[in-house]
Amino acid sequence: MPPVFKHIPLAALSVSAFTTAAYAERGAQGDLNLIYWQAPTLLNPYLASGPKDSEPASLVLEPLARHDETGKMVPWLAQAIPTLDNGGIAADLQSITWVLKPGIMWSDGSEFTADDVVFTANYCMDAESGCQMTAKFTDVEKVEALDPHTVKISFSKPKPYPYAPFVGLEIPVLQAAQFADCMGPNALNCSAQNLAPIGTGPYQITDFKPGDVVTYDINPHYRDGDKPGFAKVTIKGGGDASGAARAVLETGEFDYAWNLQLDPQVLAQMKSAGKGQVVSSFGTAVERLQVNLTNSAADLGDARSTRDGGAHPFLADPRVTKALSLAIDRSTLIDIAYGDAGRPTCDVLAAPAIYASGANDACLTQDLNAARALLDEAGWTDTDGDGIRDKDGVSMTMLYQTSVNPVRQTTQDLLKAWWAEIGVAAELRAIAPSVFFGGDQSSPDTYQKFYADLEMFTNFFPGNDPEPYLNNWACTAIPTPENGWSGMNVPRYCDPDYDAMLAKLGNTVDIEERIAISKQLNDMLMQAGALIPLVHRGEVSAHANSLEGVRMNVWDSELWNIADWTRAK
Amino acid sequence: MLTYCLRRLAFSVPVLIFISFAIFLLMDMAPNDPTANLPMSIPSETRAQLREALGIGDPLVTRYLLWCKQFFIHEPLNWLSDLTGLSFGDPDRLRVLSWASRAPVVELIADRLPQTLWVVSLSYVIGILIALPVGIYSAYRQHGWFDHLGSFISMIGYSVPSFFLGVVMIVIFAVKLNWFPSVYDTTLTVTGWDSLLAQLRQMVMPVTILALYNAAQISRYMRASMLENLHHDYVRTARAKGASERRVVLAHVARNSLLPVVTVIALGIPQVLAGAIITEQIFKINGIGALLISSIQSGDLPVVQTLTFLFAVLIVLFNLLADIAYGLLDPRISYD
Repeated sequence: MPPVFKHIPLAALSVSAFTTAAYAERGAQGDLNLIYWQAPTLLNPYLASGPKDSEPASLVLEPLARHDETGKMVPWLAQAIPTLDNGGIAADLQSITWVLKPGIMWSDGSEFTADDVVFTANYCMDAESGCQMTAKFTDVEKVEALDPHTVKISFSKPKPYPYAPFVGLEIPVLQAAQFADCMGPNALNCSAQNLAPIGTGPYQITDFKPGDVVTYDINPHYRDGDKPGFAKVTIKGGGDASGAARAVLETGEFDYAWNLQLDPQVLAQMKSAGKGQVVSSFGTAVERLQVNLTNSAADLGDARSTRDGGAHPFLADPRVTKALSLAIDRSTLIDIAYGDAGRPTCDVLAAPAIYASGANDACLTQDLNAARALLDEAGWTDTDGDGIRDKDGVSMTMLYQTSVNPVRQTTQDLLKAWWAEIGVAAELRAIAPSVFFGGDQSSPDTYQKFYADLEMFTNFFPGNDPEPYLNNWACTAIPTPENGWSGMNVPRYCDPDYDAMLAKLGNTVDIEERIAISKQLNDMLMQAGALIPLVHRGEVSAHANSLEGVRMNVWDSELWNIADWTRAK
Repeated sequence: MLTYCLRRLAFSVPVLIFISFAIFLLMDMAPNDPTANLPMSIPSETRAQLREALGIGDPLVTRYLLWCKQFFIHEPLNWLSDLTGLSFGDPDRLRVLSWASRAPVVELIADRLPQTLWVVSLSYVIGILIALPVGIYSAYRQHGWFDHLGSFISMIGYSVPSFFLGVVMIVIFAVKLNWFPSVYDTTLTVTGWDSLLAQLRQMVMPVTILALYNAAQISRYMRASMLENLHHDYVRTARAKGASERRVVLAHVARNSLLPVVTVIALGIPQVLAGAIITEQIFKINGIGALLISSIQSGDLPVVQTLTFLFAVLIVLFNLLADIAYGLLDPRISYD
């Protein structure tokens, strides 16, 4: 205990306030063990395959600004968030200027400068590098260093939301000196660099066994002399979500377990052992049914599931999709399959809260009679007495596909049972994720080819600007044989009004107006029945009771504030 | 004998080349995409660029020959220069790289090998050490209480799947009793008594499960083989000569009964090295088995190709070794 402690008045409040400060000494907290059951395989977020890699990398590599746990942007390597008011964003919206914090050092002792930022931009924008974050640099014309601590990013057209490059977990700054030889086609072959990047963050990598374990110790040149609290960090991978949850909640071998999408009952039982707690946070992810508005009949050949093949015999009628949506009891579905990790939603743009429309909330309560009435009204009745509605010889039987995943199969079973009650039959299909989400042109089972009537998966958007997400349903984003089945407009929704509204969003700066347009776009999609949102999905993690300072964050890395984590005494 | 071995080795070269091509072809035909696991927010054009950067668009034969060149020429050269400290040819030659981690596949395997060897081979040795005496005694006292008990336990070892037994053991010994850890620590290096104890503690549960399975399998073979031999004429002769029961059973019957069992043991070794996929997964051992499974899931073709090829090599090799052991153990068999 430092001698200064004696002079502190003994009022309980100030003592407790001081204890936190007294323990806030670099490396005084011992070891920290985390378990990421999907093991990290690569620690360069530009080439990584998702959060399982970019989160472990976030202990080392840092962006100019992060999002905190409420989704708000906070300056990280930059001094402040550039805005129109402080002059950081040019009046013509064609450039943004970031001023870097002075005196930041890389863990090898060299100085962090604007050249590193410029290098990183060029590294990713090189088409041959295999960089996965190229979308973050859309419309970026030039990134230049005005002086060693000022970076200017110029865009080829006015950007109402210029915070895509260098904000958030996936686009940190790489050290130019380390990656100098990794430009273009060499990027993928730079094993040593990609497995152990040098960063400015609180930790540096001491050892990394891809697919198994990462160990870190403190970056000796970290900017805050009192942080981080833990001297050593280990991120272990492997096994499955339930094993990871057990290691934190039941055996106490680990301090933190990431991504625990488990049966709610299982998680509750593990929690009752009293060793740890479950934390969740809701971002923009929504599990939804994609409705095929086009005909997926196999006899159409090449025109199958394209707009050329014609409209779907019954799903193109919004009354039918509305009936399907009304037949679903979302609360029961969440109780059974999602637990703390889900909330019912009727909007595909469910978050951030300011963007949630709420105009479609009628679907939150299951109403089988209203659903039956809608189908009757649309002319679908059971004429042949087989329990399934039909019209003009077409029976309401749908092929409903998704990826192999226990939660999704439970959902499929529940939905099928509810639809049976309103006289609609569903044939279920589960496809291996690597095939379903893959882009193999020769496979008929990808989500983009959509040779089915309904399919289910989750989509989300990183950060808090929904514009790129809403662009997913533009006419031009429809997957077709001509564009190699690429594009995210899986329902094949095409409405000129929607496209016009999107164009308007692209030219609108005022945030209130952007919110209003976004809500309107969401409502258009919902009313057309292109998508049936089911569950607003959260991220669930668990941490030991003794671990303090965790601020579960779905908008950025869950480990974003690891430098502040401490052990309760 | 030597000429026989050389001839067999020479024959195995075309076999292995054929196998490697067959594996490559199978992998290529399977619908798989290494970009499938990327987050949805990554657009299709970026995915296409990445696939191109990985070389997936190249013709099948080009990719196969490239793999052959990297695996059969570059990797041995690298190994040789690491071993001797000399440099052979271009030091920047391209190695077989994993698509998921962009690390050389050979290094990934080298990372994973120690834990697989420790856990899986130890369980194999223990399994054999249990199986042989159990098999011999069960057969000698056929239908006795020991035979029944042995049969019962082997049936459990055989039929209860390790994903069930493993979780039961974790719940009892890790959660309730807190004796053993449920997660295997691969960073642990044995430097003294404490770390040795920690290493033994973390190995107890996985080794027990795998040893039970191996013992169950091998003891059944040993018992069956013993039963067959016990009724042969040479056993009666040995007894008539006045040899002790101990000598009859151990020196005569057991030795002869070992012949088929040796084959079973030798042919089982490649599976040992292939890892025990499920057990590795449950205890998070992250050995070769876990590497194979995660690579299949992420569509990481170079790793799957290299691993399956190495298993093929091991199978061919241990088939040869089993044949040689046969010749050594049974004087009636001669390969010349």
